[in-house]
Amino acid sequence: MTPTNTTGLEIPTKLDQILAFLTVGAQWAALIPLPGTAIASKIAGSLLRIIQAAIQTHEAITGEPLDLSKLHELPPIE
Amino acid sequence: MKNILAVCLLFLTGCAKNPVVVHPGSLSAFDSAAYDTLLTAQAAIESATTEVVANYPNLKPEINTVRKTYTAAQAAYKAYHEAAAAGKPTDPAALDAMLKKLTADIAAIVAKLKPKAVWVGPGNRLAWRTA
Repeated sequence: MTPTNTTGLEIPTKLDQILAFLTVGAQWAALIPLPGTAIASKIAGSLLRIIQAAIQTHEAITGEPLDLSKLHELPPIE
Repeated sequence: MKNILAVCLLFLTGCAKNPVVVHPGSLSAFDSAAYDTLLTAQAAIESATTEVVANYPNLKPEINTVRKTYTAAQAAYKAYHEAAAAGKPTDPAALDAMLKKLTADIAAIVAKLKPKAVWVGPGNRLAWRTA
């Protein structure tokens, strides 16, 4: 089976979905500068940092040579 | 105000239709996009893990589920890439299914950080319950 079949067309959607899920969080985070609770601020800060990490990485690797060593295991945390 | 601008910028960046750029050294658009998805997911998961450890220890089971799914997906991708490079049979549909599961697991933990219900609390302060 060749890699470039219809399945291949679906993969970029997954990346879009990840960014979309995260940016939906950013929409909620936009409420934070209004008077809010401490927990709300904490949620906003966390989401923003997660979004920034994902988008910055995506932009940083765009057009870069494929490097499998950048992909590594993520063992469970205790 | 800075936060609002930053959020708007991030939102626009996230929604923009990015042109598909194939990574040099990749075997196909599929191979390139899977690599791209995994690296982006890896960054999001590592950042989320930092947040969970620091602020949401109750979400450790969820983040560990995501980490386990990611570890399996990246291993499957590497196996796929090496097999395809060697001209051996591959199963992109299986890899696609793993990436779908990874996306779903990430969505689940992000949903936990999203507010479930917003209301105006005492002193006209905006408040919400977490999911």
